[in-house]
Amino acid sequence: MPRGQDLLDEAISLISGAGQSDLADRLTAQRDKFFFRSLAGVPLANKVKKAGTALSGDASDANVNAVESLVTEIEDKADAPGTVLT
Amino acid sequence: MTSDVYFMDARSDSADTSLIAKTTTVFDAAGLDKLISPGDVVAIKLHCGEWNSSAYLRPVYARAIADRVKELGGRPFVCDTTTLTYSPFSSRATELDLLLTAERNGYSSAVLGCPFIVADGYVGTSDYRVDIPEGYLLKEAYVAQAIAAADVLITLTHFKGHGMGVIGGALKNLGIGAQSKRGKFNVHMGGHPKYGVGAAVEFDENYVVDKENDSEWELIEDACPIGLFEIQEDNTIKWDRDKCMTCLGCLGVMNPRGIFEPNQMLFDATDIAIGDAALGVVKTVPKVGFVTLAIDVSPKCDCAGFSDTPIVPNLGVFASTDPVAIDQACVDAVTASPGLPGSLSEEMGVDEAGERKFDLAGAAIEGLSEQTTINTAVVNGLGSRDYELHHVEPVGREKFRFPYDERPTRKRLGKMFEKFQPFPFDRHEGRGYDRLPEVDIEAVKPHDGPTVGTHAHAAYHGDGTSHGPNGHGAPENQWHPGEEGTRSHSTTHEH
Repeated sequence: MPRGQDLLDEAISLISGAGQSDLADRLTAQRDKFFFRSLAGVPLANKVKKAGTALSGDASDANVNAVESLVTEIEDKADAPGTVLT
Repeated sequence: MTSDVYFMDARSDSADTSLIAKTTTVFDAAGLDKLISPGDVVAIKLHCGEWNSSAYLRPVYARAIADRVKELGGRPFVCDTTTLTYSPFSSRATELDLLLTAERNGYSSAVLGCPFIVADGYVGTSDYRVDIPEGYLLKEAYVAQAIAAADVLITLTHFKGHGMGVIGGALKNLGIGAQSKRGKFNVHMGGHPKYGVGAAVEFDENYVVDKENDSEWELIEDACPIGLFEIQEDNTIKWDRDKCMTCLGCLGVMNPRGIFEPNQMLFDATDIAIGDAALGVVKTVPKVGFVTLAIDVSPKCDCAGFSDTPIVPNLGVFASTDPVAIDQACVDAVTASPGLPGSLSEEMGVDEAGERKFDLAGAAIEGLSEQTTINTAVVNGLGSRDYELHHVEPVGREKFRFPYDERPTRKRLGKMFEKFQPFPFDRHEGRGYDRLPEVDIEAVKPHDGPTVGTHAHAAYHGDGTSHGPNGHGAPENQWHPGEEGTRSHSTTHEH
């Protein structure tokens, strides 16, 4: 499995386990996009996994907001046209 | 066979250890000066940077080499080539666009001291076809005309990562950068029955675009310069894939939406083809040398319309007559270096010294290798991965003085200062300026802020306007915009 999807699945599991199923669903909707099957999505997948880890240990508003901010950023970037390849 | 690579690191504490001086110092140390005979036309090929990229080489490096070429009696020009369309909004796909981009990025004849040329013409069809029977995949290449016509090619390269090529080094500067647009289609596998986009990519024609959530869905049709995509009435997409040139203009539109499946084979084949096309250039130009600056090592190429934080610290300047050896030396130097904190190398988890960086931090998809192009260029006989790294010593700062007037200060400025004395000796008893005799210096050095209060006559309040002691506006003895020239020449103005 591509590294980005692997990390995202871990994040989805953590976030879902913390009771934030809406956020987890929003991430699930992104996981099959090229962004996460390429290496381009790895950094954000890494970040949201770390934020998910924090959320699973402490379901504070601050940690929920941190995850939500990253989910929004992922939704924005995963569809951005103009990926440069050459 | 072991090739020689000459190297100076990126540290500097004097004129002769500046990166500009080191560029010409390694140039000479590697014997590239010996390539140039009086009257030779010398192409200096570089990447002038895409619109909004910022890690590309500053023009002064090309200027320094152009000046050295002129010293040697050569006739230099600096050049780049038109690109594939490769995104809906590329900025260098025609000569017109490339020149506008180059000038914005600082590349012009006035800056370089020699012409800046788009080597493959207005559209990118000015080229020279060369057979390469030794090629591993390609059997011909199309070298940009101005490069093919030159007596000498100096390949001036900014070493960095690349989404498709994995690394952007000397080989890519030849195998992509020195190809015409027609040649770039060849290298990117346009029309290839197995590796081209039209043949290799899995295409979801039933993908239904959610137009309400995708404001740029029209790009699906407009991303192809020859109109091979057509949205049907039932929202399916018709793609005339047999005619696909592999210009890559649509990948950034299709891939993120899942209309195309990522295709590693296309990327790998292109990386191989780069090594072959590089051979085509070396076979075409009689004399070729390489200078590579491994500085601002951004993870993605200068062809991206942005430049991310470098993945490693600045490493230095390399020169060689072997493009394979110089690329391998650069890859090895990046591998040996620790990654920069906060960069993509850290985010990808490859920031330890000794870890390969580009396979993850450079490539756009997994499974590519930073060695593919280098290894191909070994197989086709272009060069050697084995090299001896020669550490070059500085050659003395005298050589790098300001060349237009080398006289010391008094001889150069004495008479001018007699006529236009810039220091107002006639004011304040010869001390020139209105200043306090002494202040508490230590009071403004603490890192947590000053230990004295705000001055009662503080003139700047942080709101972008000036407030003098007489209220809003400029007081009598403040700076008057537009009058600075008058004041600097005046010796009688009193306050």
